[in-house]
Amino acid sequence: MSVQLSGEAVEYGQVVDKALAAAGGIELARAIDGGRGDRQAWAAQLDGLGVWELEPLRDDAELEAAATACHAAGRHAAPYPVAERLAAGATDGPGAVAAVADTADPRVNHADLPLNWAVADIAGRLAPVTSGEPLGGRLGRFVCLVRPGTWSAGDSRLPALVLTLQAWTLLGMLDRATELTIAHVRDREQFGQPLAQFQTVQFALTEQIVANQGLRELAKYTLWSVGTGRAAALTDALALRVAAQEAAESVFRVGHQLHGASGFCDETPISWLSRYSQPLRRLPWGRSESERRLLTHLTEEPLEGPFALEGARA
Amino acid sequence: MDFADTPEEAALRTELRGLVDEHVPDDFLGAFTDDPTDLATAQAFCRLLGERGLLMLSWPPELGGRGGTSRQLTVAREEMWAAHEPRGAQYMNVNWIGPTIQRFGTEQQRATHLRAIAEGTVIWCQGFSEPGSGSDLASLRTAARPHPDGGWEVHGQKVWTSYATMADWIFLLARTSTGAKKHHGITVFLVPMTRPGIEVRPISAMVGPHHLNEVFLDGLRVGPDDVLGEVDHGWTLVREALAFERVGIARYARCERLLNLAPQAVGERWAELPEALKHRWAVALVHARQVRLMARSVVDKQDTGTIDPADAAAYRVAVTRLDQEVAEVLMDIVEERAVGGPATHEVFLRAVDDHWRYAQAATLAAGSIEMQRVLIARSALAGAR
Repeated sequence: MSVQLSGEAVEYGQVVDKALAAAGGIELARAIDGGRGDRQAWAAQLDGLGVWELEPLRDDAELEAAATACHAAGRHAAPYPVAERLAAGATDGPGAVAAVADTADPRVNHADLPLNWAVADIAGRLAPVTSGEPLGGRLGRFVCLVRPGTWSAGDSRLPALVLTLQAWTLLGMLDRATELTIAHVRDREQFGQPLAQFQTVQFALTEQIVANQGLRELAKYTLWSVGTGRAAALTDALALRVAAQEAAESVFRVGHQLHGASGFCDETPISWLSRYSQPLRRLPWGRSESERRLLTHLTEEPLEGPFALEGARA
Repeated sequence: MDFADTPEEAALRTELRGLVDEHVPDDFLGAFTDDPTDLATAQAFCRLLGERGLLMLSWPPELGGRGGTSRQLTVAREEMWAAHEPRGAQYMNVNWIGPTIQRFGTEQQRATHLRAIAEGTVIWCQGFSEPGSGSDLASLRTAARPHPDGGWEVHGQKVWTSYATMADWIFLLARTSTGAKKHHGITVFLVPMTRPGIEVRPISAMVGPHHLNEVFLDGLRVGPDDVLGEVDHGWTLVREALAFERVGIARYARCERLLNLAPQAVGERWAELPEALKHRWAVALVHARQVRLMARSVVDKQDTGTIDPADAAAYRVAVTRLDQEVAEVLMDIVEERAVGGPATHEVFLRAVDDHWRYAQAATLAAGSIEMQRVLIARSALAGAR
């Protein structure tokens, strides 16, 4: 019984990663943000790789492939709703699904794209949406206000699936941010030596690495949980979201700090990863609200594990 | 991927929990207290595990084990640590002393030690740290000088030596020569604690009795039969032993158990706790799950030979920080009852008190967190080349 992704899924993620890198990588996100690129054209690069034919809830192989595809997209700042489109699957029904908060004016990233969008609430109900134009702004230029239509019963697994795939996208961003930070501190010299020679810099790097490793293991577990279709998957997905938001704060904080002023500049890749991570981290809810929701779920359904309360020794 | 316990793993958990329920008192909080019956409980429990092949679970039946998988070994580590380690000091035998002797011992050493370790009748201590050699272990100065009558005579001092007052044997590091590098010239000796030339002095500390001792070595005679591995090449063994130790203690298991018990244990007070504290509790549960999964991944990668030492180091950083995070969360949850001596009948309060005190050493024991960070950073920076 392995606790690692299948070799096929890992390889698939590498293929998607290479394809996106060859097409321009994070530079494409920068161009799109500046109005010099097209999000649908970005997505079309994945047409030939079978990404949009994946049905994550069909079997473990497709679920793992969807996760590694999201991870690869995250590595290139994904200026497109990859997780939301994959969560919807390739069959009939909505073409992209986002989880939303039950607020009067929910926001969905990229909801203006013609994908036959639907939103899901935490119970798995679905509603079609009409979307406004992107609101703009430096953090999440393509976030739109949406208006849900009539709610109807949907697949109860969807909220957990979309939250989990979003976390995989975020994990891809964090892994890439860490790689970029490592490369930067090796190249950049101050006081006559690479930044990497300073132990204080090395220790900061370990914050990124430990955070990423912990998130990766939880992301694999949650993916498995979603695949089993068990009721606990939603609580697991909320736990993953809490962990992903926490890791993102830590990894990007270190990444920005160690990049120095260059880390804020448009020509620096980490700047785009940081910005494009924001909609994933703030929608449908930020860190505190994720924690509050997790806490609410925990009172009804403890996190499963060998030391959950059942049978625990007093 | 499959994260569920296999039927064999689930059965092992059930078996171990049944044994703990039957043979370990409900108020047992570890073998190292001022009450000698706690140590007696642990020693009896070890013999019981030994009889059933559960102590050296991974060893083959002919050595007294069950030929268990590394995953089953992890299950046992989790169950034992969650139950306040009723194996007492013998967890060290299981985690690294036994495996190291099995790997590097002579036929005679294996015959002398392995059976006793598997039967749970022997306590070992590790003679590693010295007053001048903590994280920089290889700089150790305890000297084993050739004796005119053969063998060596050892002079020096060890410190922080857990369980030395109760140990039957010491896994002793001493310098037999001064090599070009400090890692050269170190030799491992397996020595009975009753041999003349060894004096143990307990160090009183907030972690509790028996955890910390000084061991003075003054004219201790050791011979070729006491050497584990090769003379002057003990560092190879030490590295291997420390690698075993890095995933050794399943600290996350007790963290998960105590966190899960907390709402029920504090009763009506739980509803009145600040929401911010409940958030910390929920997040700590997530962290505990993450760390358990990191441990599992490390074990899995060790099995498949794909382990990077930095993976184990990252796990160590995460698990020791978790231990301390959970200690603080639990102390906040029990509010004012955290101090002033918990009533003896309130096991949870005593468990929190015990956990907090022991957790203070988590980021130091078996290699400081700073050394783990150095290892992680070196690996990451080397990989980037």
